[in-house]
Amino acid sequence: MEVRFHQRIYTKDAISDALEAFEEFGTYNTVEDGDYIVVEISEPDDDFSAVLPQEIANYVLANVIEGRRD
Amino acid sequence: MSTPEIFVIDAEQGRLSLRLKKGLYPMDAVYGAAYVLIDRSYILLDKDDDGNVLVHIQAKTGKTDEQDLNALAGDFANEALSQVLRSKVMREHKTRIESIISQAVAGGLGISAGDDLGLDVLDGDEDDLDFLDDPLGIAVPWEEKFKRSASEERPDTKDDGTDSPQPTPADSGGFQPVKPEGPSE
Repeated sequence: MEVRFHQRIYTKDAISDALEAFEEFGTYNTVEDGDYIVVEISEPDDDFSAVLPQEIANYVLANVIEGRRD
Repeated sequence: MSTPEIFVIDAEQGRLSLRLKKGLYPMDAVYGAAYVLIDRSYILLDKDDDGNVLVHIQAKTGKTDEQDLNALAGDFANEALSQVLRSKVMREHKTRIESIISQAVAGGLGISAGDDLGLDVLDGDEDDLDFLDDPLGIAVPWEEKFKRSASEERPDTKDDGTDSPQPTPADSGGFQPVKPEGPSE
């Protein structure tokens, strides 16, 4: 599974912060694909695998918004 | 085309996708609206090739129908509009808002606009004072302050051959027990 973050909407810092926060729930690999930063998720925690990509997406979005307020 | 345009709606998966026309909503408004809905839905923002903003929303509650998803889309659109208006009001009344806030903060500190803070002495002609000047007579040299005690000879060290009285507690203002008058109980 993967989440694609558009680079004109999401920042790299927000993404790396989120992956650090979620590090115990899976293994992540980040690659750039054109306008996107793609987060590939492997070995997700069984209890959270259904919502892990969405939770990461929400966390990254919150990071971006809070970063813009600073 | 209505804006935001719902171009995907999947009640079974509980998700929908909106397209916001480029330039209609500033990104700050989109972020603000997303932030408001983030506690009850999963949101992923994207852009298409034409620069339109795509908002993918998935409800967090397990069971949703098309009506719920339409309501969610409406909430997002309303919130985006609200954010645009709030931003516009902030921009137009920035100076006035800052003035009101600064007055409120000053009021909280007990300072009003007409208060004399006693800082006038710092203005005007006083600026040419030397650091050794002391117009208010505050500074007292150490030697002058302790002149009396330094110049006096201590009675217990005086050795002039005369019988000098021994110091008593009264000399230093110390405790002097007074025998109470009248019969004691």
